[in-house]
Amino acid sequence: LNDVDTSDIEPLTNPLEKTAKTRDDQVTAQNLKQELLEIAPSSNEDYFLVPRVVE
Amino acid sequence: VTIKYKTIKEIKKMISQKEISNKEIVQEVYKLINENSHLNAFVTLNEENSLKQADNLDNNPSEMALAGIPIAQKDLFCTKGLRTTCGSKILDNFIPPYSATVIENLENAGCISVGKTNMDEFAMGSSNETSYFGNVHNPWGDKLVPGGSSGGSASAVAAGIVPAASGTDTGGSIRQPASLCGITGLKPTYGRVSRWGMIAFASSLDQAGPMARTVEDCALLLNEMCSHDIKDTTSLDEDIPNFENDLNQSLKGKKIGVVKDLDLSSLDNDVVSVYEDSLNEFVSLGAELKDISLPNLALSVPTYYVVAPAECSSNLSRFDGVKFGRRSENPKDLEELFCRILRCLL
Repeated sequence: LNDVDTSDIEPLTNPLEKTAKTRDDQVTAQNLKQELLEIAPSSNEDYFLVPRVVE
Repeated sequence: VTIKYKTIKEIKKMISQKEISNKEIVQEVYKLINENSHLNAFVTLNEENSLKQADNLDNNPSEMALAGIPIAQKDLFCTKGLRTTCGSKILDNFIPPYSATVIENLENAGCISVGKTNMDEFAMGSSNETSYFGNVHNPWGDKLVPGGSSGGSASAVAAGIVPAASGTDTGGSIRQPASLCGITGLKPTYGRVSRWGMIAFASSLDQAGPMARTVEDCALLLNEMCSHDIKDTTSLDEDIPNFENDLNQSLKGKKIGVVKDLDLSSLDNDVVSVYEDSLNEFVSLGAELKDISLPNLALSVPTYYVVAPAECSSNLSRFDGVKFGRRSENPKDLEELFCRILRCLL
């Protein structure tokens, strides 16, 4: 690949060649906090739990 | 009356003419899964829910496009309340709290998701020999691989267990197993099908698509799978044609390019003759063949092996054992937790 001359090739930044669309800042999904914490290997009521990081 | 080896179109007709009930269809699917357990095409079954759905359809017949059609879903799509493993031990206990948009679209069209199909782990493989749940076998022969990564889906359709299945394709994962199992599959244009709820491999290449016995069934499925989805920023906001409309259009006057840079000498003679037969078939249907050259073709695989590993390295970092999936037992610190999970992948 290093031997290929790409000097005239424009970089591809998006496979669709379309710019990212914006949308209104509205709540569209329900809050799944409880469901998501329940499937975690370890959690309390509010957080995912991991082994102690700071001694 | 049997649904074995039947197409979606044929099963729809059987339902509408009351030759078979929705419940009998689902019951036969599970009988066929059992009879073909040596294929190892399924990882998780959805029997109780499927029978319940079929019962409902028998009591309240529906005109929806896929009403009562049993479909096997690749185990890469999140299915709400139904285990989703992506072929990995890391996710062997993962029950998603939501469904992929593709799954919702198909189920909203009335299909019954009878089970989740085996696949190469995290969709990385082309032979279905890398799944934590064991190899998938090709119904055409014990010593044949089904291809991959959507090998469970291809094997289940080829064995006539289900008329159709969902698949995903990053670097050939629908097209190659469909070919190796003798069924029909296609990778849609990127952006046509929402990637929401698909476990990502290489995000700029991943695309879900249909796998079925006929082109007609693939068109029918694709009609339901496609949608513009605001939850996927790369989802196309363009009109979706009815893919069934042009199926019987004549090939007269169409030009088909025949790539001359392909080296056929490394292929089996049988494969070469099937390829040449297909060219002759197109000519007999009125198409014109035209030799073309794709001089950069040899660069495509090396380029793929830059893009795909870079994107999957980023995507797979989410399997850290913190928010979902398996966690190594009693890690002494966070580093050991991450490292043990990574070793589980190797």
